[in-house]
Amino acid sequence: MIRYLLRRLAVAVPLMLGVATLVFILLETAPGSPVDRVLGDRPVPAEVRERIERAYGFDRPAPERYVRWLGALCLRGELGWSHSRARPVSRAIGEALPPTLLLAGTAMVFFLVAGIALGAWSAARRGRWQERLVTLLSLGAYAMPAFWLGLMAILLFSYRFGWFPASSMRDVDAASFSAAGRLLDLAHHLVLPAAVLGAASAAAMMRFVQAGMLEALAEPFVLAARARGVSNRRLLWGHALRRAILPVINLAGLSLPVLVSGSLVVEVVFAWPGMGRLTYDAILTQDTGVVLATTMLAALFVVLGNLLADLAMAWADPRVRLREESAG
Amino acid sequence: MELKRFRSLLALLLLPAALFACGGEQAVPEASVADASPRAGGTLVIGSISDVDSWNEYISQQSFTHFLLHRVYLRLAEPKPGPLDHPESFAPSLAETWVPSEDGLSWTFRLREAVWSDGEPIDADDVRFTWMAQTSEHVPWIAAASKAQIVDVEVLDDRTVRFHFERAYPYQFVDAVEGGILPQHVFGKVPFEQWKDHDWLTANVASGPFIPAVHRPGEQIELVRNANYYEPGKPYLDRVVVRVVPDISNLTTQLRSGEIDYLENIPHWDAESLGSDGSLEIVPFEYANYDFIGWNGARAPFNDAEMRRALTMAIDRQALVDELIAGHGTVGRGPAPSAWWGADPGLDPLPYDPETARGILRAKGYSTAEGETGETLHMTLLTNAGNRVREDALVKIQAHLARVGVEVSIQPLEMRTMRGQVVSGDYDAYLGGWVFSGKVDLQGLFDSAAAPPNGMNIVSYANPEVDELFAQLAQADSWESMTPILREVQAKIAQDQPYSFLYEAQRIAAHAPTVAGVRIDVPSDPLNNLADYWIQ
Amino acid sequence: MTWRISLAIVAVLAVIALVAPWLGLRDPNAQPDGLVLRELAPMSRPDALRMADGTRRFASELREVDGAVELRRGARWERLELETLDGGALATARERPLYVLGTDGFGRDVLSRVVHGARISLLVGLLAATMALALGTLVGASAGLAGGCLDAVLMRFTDVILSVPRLFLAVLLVALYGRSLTTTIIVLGATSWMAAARIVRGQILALRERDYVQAARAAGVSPVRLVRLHLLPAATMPLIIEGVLRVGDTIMIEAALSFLGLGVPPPDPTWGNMIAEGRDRLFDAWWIATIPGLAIVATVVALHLAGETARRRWSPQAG
Repeated sequence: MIRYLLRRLAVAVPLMLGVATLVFILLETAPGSPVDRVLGDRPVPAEVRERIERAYGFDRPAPERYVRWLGALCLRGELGWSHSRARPVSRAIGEALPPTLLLAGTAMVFFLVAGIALGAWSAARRGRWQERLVTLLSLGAYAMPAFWLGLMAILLFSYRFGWFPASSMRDVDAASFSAAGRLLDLAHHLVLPAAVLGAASAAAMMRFVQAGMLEALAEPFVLAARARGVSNRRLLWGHALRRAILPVINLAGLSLPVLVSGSLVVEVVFAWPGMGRLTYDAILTQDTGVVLATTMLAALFVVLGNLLADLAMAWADPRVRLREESAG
Repeated sequence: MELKRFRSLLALLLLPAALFACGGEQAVPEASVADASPRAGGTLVIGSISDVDSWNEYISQQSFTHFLLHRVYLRLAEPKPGPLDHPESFAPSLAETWVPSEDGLSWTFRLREAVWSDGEPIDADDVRFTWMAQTSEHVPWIAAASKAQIVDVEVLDDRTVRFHFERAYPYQFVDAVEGGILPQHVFGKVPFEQWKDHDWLTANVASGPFIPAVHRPGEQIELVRNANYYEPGKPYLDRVVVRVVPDISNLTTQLRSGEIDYLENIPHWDAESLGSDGSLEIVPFEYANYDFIGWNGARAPFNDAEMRRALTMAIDRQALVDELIAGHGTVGRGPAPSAWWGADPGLDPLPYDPETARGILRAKGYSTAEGETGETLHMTLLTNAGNRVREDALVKIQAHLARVGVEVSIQPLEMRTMRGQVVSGDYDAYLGGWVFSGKVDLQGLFDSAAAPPNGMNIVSYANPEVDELFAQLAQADSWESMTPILREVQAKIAQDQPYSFLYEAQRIAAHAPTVAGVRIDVPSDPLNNLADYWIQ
Repeated sequence: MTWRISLAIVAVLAVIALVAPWLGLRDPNAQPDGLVLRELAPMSRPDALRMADGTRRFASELREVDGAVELRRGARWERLELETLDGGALATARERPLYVLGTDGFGRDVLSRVVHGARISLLVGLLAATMALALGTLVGASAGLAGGCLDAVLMRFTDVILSVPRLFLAVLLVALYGRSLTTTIIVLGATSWMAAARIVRGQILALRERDYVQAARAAGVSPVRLVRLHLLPAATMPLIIEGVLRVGDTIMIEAALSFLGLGVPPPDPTWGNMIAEGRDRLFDAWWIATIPGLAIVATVVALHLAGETARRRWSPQAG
């Protein structure tokens, strides 16, 4: 098992490097100089522009910058400097990662709970209006662009009803709250963005569970058990759900990268100070160090997500053999 | 069965529409009667799209950061209400008095008795140290050119410092006071090479009304009151919090709901709806800037001045002002922003005259309508994406020019892509703008020697008469002698129309009625009176 | 049963999109008046005057004065002599055109833009999906047929691209290469081919060992012919289904790119950039962003329904 884990994780390293190289090439082959975006509308004479470029090392050729970056990473574990945040990249990521993990984690809890519960409930009420409602809702939620959903959510629940704050992670005065108060404040700010982020996955999960359970409930031995008088409830929760759990776990693991990707849009809409925001700002300001680091991290999440999914599957059902590749 | 399902789907889809169609305003807070005397204490929450990139103004390249840093590290003299960058429009700040020398080669400043927030006295050594930093080649300061004529900064005693200049010219004072004074005892501990990598929040010292205390990147910034600020009793606010939200519509929603108190730049069309129910105060202010269309002077037919004038006349610039910026601005007149002392008030913009424009186009062999003889002029108009007003301007200008038979394809591009194309001459025209804070250097923008890659004369405008005038200007020894030359320069450039000067937009700030003392009277420095704000 | 209805909806949408220019709608990009027509609510009827020369003037307010008509645009009043009006009188010249879905910030007809936007959004979706399928088939077929080293390299490359969140990659590419219709299609296609590659490769791997394929190979049939005649047809149905789902996805990603300011540049309408334009005005003019959003939801729902139920019917082993 350990060997299998190590082997899978070992694949992650060249993958991350491959991602970083791809991104670096993309960033380098684009036209223009990174300084232009920053200077914007201010008339700046050429010598000053050159001075700025020199100060940030933009005047060195691309391969040299790549080698330097790679060397710093492998030899010293350094990720470089973020000029858009004026701090080391590692610190910028260290500050942005926890909020995204919190957001993605909550979104995952939300979509698992909502997805499984609603999926099971609708499967139990097969053929009735509840099933159709859930199917409809899930289709709609899946098809709504996340940012649009976010904007509607803000307009409705934040402005119209005033139930939740429109953005950010905490209240302006959060530092002066008690520990319990801060936790509550955090939860309060978490509701809308997590719900929006998890909505599409919840929809997918709902349909999955619904389909899986319906399939399981249609199996011959279930019909036989029902004929023998075994209660519906026991069949539902005892058998059908357990059979449906397997692909659910698989889906959950595979949803991790979706959450990371979706966080870009949701974090921008809700001004959530996480990795998605960081990446978006970094891409627009050509902050190479940050873009490289965040895409590598995203790649790592994908690998981890796949790995977790496979492991969970193998644990839940010993008949499933662990695959050697990352995906079939 | 299926039909029923799809009817319910329809209902689901129409639900959001129904919710919005049915009005539903939030309760409007009663605007309290203005209190006459300022109260100490309170927190002001400002909303901002951009975050602070560095707490060192010589490293930061971001305007919002500079607005904040001007309240932390004061200059020798601060701009006061009045035209941009004229010496009469500077008020004493860290320097109490100043005297020019007889030979016109130096200025002597007498500093006021003041201390840094940590108790150390603000002295002449700090001024000299700041100059060394400003001119160091390791410090990538945007405005470094302003110190080019300063030979030395001499410390005469603790509170007296003398700036020595290479030659006599009217801008000496302006150049000398450019840039906030830094505390040597804190900033001097870090070698200049490490300045751009250093976290300057740790400096924790200020001469101005506020000290930066907390910075959570992408989230929130907190500045606290500096008890050692030299103006007694000020600032009134205890704390200024900046909420960083990269989305303007989210920010305006928060302003409406009361989560933030102050926005220093709201979209122009929002001013009507934000101010309409009286729950918010709207404050338009001058912001020395103008937007223009830069025509590629090296490419036919844009290298023909008459052609450029025709194209300008075909654009209804007043309509741009009315429709893009809700009337908050004026039609562009010429190369100098109206807020500048050197701008010629008598210079009129080219009229909106599509008929004359058509006449000129026809005379040059272009067809100005369907079915007319002549070739159709096709062109591409670029701008930098992300600026909503400019992107909308592209769409309107495309329509205006279509009325005189010009087919314009519009392209918003990322800033650096656009810059790259423009600097390399690979464009027809681009819609851009300039923001002026401090010195307005027309020569750097319009002299033929300033064409790319050397300078900012991006359209490669070249008029030897104008170059000659600039040479005279550089030798001018007094403000008065500069004025007639500047008038001539502006007249000639307006005649040549290397740019179509479109409009000068005001900016608009909005705040909750609980915020008092709000006055924005210095162009391009919207937070200049932050020390005077107070909460009722 | 459901998939037939959803396919019908998609077909109707496609037809409307195709014949859009001939439906008698207003020009989606026409801006007759940027002030009076600005952000009119759905079902608005602004005041207008038909002039003798055939043009049309819009007015916030009209009033008749001695021998002339005064019209107000914004804050300015303008006087028009009666002779300049069509029919020489206010009664004959006055019109009140209906804007069913209102107008946007430039005074353009939202209904027309939504319909024309369908054209472009569906076009982008279709072209990008086609490109994704073509690229995916190429990669998948090469990997499946060649096997060995090429297979490994291509699959690793696929993994690398799959590991970068799709939106990150799209944002990066557009931010670097600029916005245009072509860039959008290419970027969307270039980030969506991986699933198709896997499908094709999977099919080929499954069939490769079959007797008739081995026989054909032994007989010297060229690999390309092999793929075209024997291996691809088996992959056709799953590919089509994949394509249909892809179209839905690319419409959504195009919308997200537009929201982030990186979509198809103006003035042409796509649902995504209509939402982007209207998003700052959500509070005052909700219809500009909401209506295209609903259009997206409806289309993507229909596409997904069609794709998924078709998949359930035709590919029992897929999942």
